[in-house]
Amino acid sequence: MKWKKVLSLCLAAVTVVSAALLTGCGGGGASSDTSFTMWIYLGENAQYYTDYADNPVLQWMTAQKWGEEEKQVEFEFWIPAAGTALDSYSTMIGSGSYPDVLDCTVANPIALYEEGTIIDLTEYIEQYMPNYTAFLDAHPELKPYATYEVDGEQKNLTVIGLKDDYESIYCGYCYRRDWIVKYGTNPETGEKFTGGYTDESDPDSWEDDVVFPSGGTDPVYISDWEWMFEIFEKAYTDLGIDDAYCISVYYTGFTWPGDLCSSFGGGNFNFYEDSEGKVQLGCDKDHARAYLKCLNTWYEKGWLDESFNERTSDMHYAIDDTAVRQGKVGMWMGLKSTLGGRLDGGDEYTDGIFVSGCALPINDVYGDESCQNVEPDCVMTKSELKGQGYAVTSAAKDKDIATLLTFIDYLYSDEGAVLATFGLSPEQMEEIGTSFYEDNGIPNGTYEVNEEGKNEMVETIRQDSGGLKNAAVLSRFPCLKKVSILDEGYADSYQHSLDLWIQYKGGADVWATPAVSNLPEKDSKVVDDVMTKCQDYVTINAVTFIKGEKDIDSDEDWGTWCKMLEKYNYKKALDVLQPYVDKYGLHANEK
Amino acid sequence: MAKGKTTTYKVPKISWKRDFGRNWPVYVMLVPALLFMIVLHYIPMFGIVMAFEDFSVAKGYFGSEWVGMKNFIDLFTGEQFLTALRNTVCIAVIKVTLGFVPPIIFAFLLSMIENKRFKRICQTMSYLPNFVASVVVVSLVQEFIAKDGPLTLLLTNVFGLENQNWLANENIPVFWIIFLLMGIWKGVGWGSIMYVAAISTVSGDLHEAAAIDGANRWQRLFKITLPCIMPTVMMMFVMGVGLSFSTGFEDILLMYMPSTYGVADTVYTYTYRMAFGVASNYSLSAASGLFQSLVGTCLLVGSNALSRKMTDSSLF
Repeated sequence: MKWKKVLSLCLAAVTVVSAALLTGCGGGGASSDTSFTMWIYLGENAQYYTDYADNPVLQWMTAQKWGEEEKQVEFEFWIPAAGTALDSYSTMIGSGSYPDVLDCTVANPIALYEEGTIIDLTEYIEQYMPNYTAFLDAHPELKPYATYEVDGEQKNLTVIGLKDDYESIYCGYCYRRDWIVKYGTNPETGEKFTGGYTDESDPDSWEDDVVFPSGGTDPVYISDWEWMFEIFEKAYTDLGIDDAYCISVYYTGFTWPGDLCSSFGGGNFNFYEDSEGKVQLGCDKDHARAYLKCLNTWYEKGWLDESFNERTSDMHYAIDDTAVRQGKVGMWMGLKSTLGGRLDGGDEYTDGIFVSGCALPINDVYGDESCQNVEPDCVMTKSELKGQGYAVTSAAKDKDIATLLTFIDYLYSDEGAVLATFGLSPEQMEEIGTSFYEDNGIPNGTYEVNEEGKNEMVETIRQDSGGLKNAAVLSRFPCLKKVSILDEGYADSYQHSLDLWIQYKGGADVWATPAVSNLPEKDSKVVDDVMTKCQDYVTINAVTFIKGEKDIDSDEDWGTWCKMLEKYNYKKALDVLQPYVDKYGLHANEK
Repeated sequence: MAKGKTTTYKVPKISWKRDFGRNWPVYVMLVPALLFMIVLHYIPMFGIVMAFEDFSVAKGYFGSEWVGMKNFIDLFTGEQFLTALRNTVCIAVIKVTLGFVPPIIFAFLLSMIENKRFKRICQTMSYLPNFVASVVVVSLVQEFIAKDGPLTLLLTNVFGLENQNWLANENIPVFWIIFLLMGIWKGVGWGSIMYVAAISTVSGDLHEAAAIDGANRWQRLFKITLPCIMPTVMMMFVMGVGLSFSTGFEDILLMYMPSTYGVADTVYTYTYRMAFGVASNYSLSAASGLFQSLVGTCLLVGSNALSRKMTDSSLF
């Protein structure tokens, strides 16, 4: 009996001591734990690495010591397989097994905060992120993207990626400038154009004397585009291309965020903010009708791809890519890689090809005055100064968030932003002993400082289209990108095309702006519901106007379209959105 | 034995324990299937509750707001719902009628092949399409019947039909036929397995006796083989009817386009667009799934009763 008592006491003592030790370990280690798990929406090209912790910039960062206590920070990345990000996100949130840091590409931060999944970073950011705060203070127009309104208070629920200038984008409208030279004539003098390559081996060494009807050397108006289409028709006749067309559009006949539709007086088919700061649904407005009228005219004239609505699996920037690369299309929405003479395959349709980029047009032909001579203000393919948001979840609440944010804040300092934008310097490579840059043909890094003091991308990066640049710098992590000192190193004609692609900055599209992201869940459902129904109706029926199955000039047909949209009670969604647009929209400061 | 008298044999009752003791390996073999059914079919049935909630992933089943029949009302009052329902019914009817026969014919043909090696090759070849991913099958179909596809050119040049992308044809019943033919190509071999197995159980003596009596192949097929495998045929028919309302529509998501929604949209695809359009609406999706399951169950019970009444053969 005595032994039993002793044994029981020993066991009890062991249990108490173990519990105390375990509690102690948890408590003492909690706030000092600087190992974080992080979910990111997309990884880099697997050719370079599959674990984002192998990113050379992150390797250098994690080798340094951070914060007052000089601690190292570690990351374990969770990256969903391509195309499964939404499923991966739903599973994580639904099961409660989410990481410490969350890429908010598919998340609603307000909903996550209200559910207790992510934490309020406001105080942490104030205390530990001076560089981030300073940049936002200097750019107040970006602040609404960095904060969320919760119970009347502005809270930092995420840390967002930022850029200090507009960066070139990956796609835009392209046209066969060589055909303009070969088949066109000066609209004023009637003389034939001249032009060609100055160096046959350089795909960007093109010079010509092309003048458009609007008087400039680049197309500006819809009338310029139609002038080009007439020239393309001559090319098709001359070359004997009988399955050619001048331009195609996305299979629905439009893109929701805007682009070409926005050329007809501003606005898009979606919710947008008009010039007076009122939120509107675009698809039943005059600009939408003018846009559909234009496409219907192009379709009737044979300029528009007659099978555009069948190309459902094509991306908006690569519609009927085969025909484009075969040299059968005059104008298209294309990637950087189609510019210049890069499509020259030496065959009969692409021999001597020169492709130029152009800006979105301004309508000067269709609709009434309100639809004409207005710059596009809803641009899907725009360049933006703000990037993705990243939240810290409740899974990290016992970890050292202060050190994590100090680590991240460095990437918003001048020095850190250069590191994130351009990758490691040779000294930094040596410091951590990485061979990444050498292995990929850029032993001295991604750039060289040029005469203008800008960081010019090296030739290997310029020629690469496989994601080397993104893999060599920090692209999937919160940071500031120093675009203002970036020189891509492109030839003048190439750079000119890229500049035209981002000529119109947009910003009137209400979707994916603070006006929508600050909507409470209940209001958000009203807007989503209306939008889903309108989207379905418009997607089905826009094509019928373009193809002439319904008459766009008929008030009866247009009236039916408008009535159907009204039936979905979109005005309720407008009422819900208006206060948020007043607060966060383009004209918020004027109110 | 006197005419009109029948002899009945009583099966001796065996207790469950005794039967288990005698046939335990059979019961053990049942365990994986039972677990499969419980884990993957019965436990997830709890998810039905989502159909009556404004479900939120983060709030879970117990935290989400109860909304009663709202999701069903939203589903049934949708602008495209009636069109989608009509298409679903028509496609289902075509599937269980025209689509039901080819595997049986194929099984008959296979049973006629006397060279075993050739028979096996034919069987294996016919099963292969079933293992090809839907996205690949649909891509092949798209290529074949595109405006410049080989089948389209054949139809144009040989039969004088209009040169067009047949998948973009908005007229009834072009899309339905394409969908049916694609399903047949994909499933004819796999669907014939049960029939081939059933045919193999038909006694050779019956065929031999009939052959001696002068019956030709057609007569043996219709007078012996078909009646013998009728229970299997009816079982497959009943199951086919039950599943006709809810299976195979994933392919349509890959094949249709806005201009063919009028003929190709089904309850499944319509729900997909409504539930996962601008934002995810799991509740609407669950309501639609429950609706389709209920219709499927009614069809299953109905067709089973019909089969029992007309052929004395039924699934349950």
